[in-house]
Amino acid sequence: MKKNGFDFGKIMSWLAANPIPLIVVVLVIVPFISPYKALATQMVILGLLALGYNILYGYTGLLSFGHAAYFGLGAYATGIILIRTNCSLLTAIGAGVFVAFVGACLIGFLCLRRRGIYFALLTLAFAQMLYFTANMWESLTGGEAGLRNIPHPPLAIPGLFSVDVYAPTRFYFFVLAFAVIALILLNRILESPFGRVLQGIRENENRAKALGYNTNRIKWLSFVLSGIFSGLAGSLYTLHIGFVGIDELYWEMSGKILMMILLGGPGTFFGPFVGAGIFLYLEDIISGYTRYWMIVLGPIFVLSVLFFPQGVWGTVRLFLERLRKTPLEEG
Amino acid sequence: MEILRTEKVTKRFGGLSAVLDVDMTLEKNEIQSIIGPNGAGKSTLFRLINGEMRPSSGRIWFNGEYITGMDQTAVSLRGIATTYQITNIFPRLSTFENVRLAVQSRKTAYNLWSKCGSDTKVNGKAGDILRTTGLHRKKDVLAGNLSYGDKRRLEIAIALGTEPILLLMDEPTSGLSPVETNEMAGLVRQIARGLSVILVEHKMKVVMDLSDKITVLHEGQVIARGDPGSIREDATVRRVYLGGVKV
Amino acid sequence: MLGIPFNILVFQVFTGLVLGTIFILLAIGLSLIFGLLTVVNFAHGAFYMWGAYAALLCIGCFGNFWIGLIVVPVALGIAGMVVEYALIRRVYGLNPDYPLLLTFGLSLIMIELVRMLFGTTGYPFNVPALLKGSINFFNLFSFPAYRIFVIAVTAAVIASLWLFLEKSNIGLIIRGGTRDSEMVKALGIDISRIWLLVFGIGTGLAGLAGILAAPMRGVYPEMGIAMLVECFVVTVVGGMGSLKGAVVSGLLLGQVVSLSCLFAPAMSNIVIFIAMAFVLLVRPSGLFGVSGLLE
Repeated sequence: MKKNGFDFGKIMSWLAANPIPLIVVVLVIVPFISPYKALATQMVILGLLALGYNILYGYTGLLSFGHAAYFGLGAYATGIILIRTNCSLLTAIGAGVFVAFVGACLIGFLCLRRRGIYFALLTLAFAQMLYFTANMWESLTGGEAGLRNIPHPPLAIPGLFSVDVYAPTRFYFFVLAFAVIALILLNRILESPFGRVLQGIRENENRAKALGYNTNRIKWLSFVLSGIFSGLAGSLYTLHIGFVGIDELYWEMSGKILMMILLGGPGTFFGPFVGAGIFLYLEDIISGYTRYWMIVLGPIFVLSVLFFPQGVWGTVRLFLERLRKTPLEEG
Repeated sequence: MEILRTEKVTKRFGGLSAVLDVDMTLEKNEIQSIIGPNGAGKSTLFRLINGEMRPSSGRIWFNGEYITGMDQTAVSLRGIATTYQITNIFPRLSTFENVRLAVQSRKTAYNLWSKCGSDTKVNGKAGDILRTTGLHRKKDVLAGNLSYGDKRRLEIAIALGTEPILLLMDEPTSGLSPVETNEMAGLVRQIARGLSVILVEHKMKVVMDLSDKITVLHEGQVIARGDPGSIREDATVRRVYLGGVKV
Repeated sequence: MLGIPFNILVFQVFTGLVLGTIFILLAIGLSLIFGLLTVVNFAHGAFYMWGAYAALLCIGCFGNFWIGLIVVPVALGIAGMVVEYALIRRVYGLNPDYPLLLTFGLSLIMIELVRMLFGTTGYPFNVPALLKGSINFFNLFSFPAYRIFVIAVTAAVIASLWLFLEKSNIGLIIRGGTRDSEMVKALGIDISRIWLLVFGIGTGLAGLAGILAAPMRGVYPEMGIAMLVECFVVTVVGGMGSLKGAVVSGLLLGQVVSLSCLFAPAMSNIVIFIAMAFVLLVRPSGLFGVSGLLE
């Protein structure tokens, strides 16, 4: 389909097959068109969180109600290590990711003892357990008040350079760097043979097992990967806000993640990012009118479960697919 | 050469014996059919052989190895594949991907890095299987959108992807029209070269045409075994199953 | 014994019994809804919370707890039926995640509504005048009258429910267990009415639990959440879809929580999860597990 000399169809095909450059371009522009930079930063961080969660839900088909746990573990670990030691920025982030990783290993193992609905309920139960633990363990976590006055070390390699990354625009691009790396890694993982097995498990776990795949171990690996990315998001979040509270572990956080995924489109690569953006933007606008923004967002969520389970990005893809008349590559 | 042997295999559910003291053997490259009325225990026997269920008692050998009690994954890796009566595919993946996943199961699942498109061996093999089963032109169609007949072919293609030594086929012609049934029988005959097959079927013509040997189950027990000719004549079988009618 | 005075131990066991009854009321509702409709009602905790607030309204309007005891479960039952008819019914037969997501979204809305209308801090709830004070047993033990009342009501409800399920035709159908029962259709009964009824009974029980719990725990918007998670633990331990499992594990976990308050108070909030982790490791399908349902 040629239009004014541009092969529109070819461009669309290439974009669909290699979506990352376009998304990066969009993400680079976003902070300059968003109402305020911090919102854009939050979009990227929570997009990362949603992306991590989507490995488990959209690709492997495992619904989890307790992903706030890994976000929270990452957030708290980073906050605690920054307050208590004099470590560098990257170490703090690494600590957050590591603690989330360990948490996901342990909790994932226990939850995967069951399947289906039980699995979902178990993830919720463990997240609540962490919530109560954080609440009680005041000496470590600051209890209900949380951790305040978290230091902001510069991004530095001793002897080489030191950069203060906390100015709003700079911080956005700092976070974006992580997000882009994560996107590339995730894309690689989800396009790999392993990624396809995840989808096989989502589509028909019993058949995948019958084919000789050790589905339990693979699910566990998916869970752990998902926890790692969620933990990274938590770390970045602590740095962004400068504070960690028990709200990050609360089930409503897990609910927010779910809503972002569903709004965006669960089975797609970018759906979570799109969903995070929409969710935060809506929350921002509605909060301007009322503190009870859930009254608006709640029904939107319910309606999208009923009528648009493929989400915004999913709908866009379906539309593009119809234009092209063949299925799109993963994107 | 014997490839599969079961000895007094029994499966009880509470007070009910779905399968009772079943002895059977399968020779290499043989096509053996298991027939019997509904509820005779045929599907249960399959599940015992492929590891989906554990026998309550009895023993199973496959390819010289004692496999009783092994789980599905282990049994699959040893070369037993199953095709199911109720189509058991990956609906939202493409037809090609359905088979590719099966072929890949013989390599590692934990390759997180390579691009799927780059493994020419795996992709090539998947393509070959699609050609054999006549699905090559539909390889990009989502499996869920295939016609029923094509889904039944895909069911077989997926099983073939795992390079099985023994193929357990549970009513492959289920729901197919007479023309499609003939085509399916032809396909089974074709792929059975080089494989051993155990077939559960209700359509007697297919059973009689394809089988080297037939085992008849009734209420969980073996009541007759032999080549198609002798089974046709067997009085017990005719009374119990064929209703006294000569086939 | 164990360094703790016997009568305190007994009192703690009694408290555990009371907690257990609340668990049981909620877990039975969850199990019924799950058993027949294969829906996990994530909004169950929200219905419980609405029950408590509805009780507040009743006291406000009628000045009487006892009227509330009748009105609240009925009102919540009707609310549940509306929800089943308008929302849940649309997602039967689809991916089993959908009812879960739907009821989850519903619970968020229900909580936010309450925050909007009643404020976020919650209210205290007084024990009805008739039940204030304690009852003395053999001059050895003394228990709050209200809590004895709660146990009595729950026992009566469980007994009536058991009778209903065992002896009535509809009970037979419900116990038969599947959402699309051929048998039911063959009998010419409109199964969609049974769905309504079961969902209504479930949410009615949740409402009853709410009004019973209010004088003991106060009334606040988030009261359903922690309780819901604990009830999920009860059903995971007891086996979802099993009424016997709901009762036994409700009583058991009530004791676990209560006794831990005595012996390890710092852990009392999380001990229920530790128990769950233990059951998961040792006997994943639960005590009376009907495993295979939705797995």
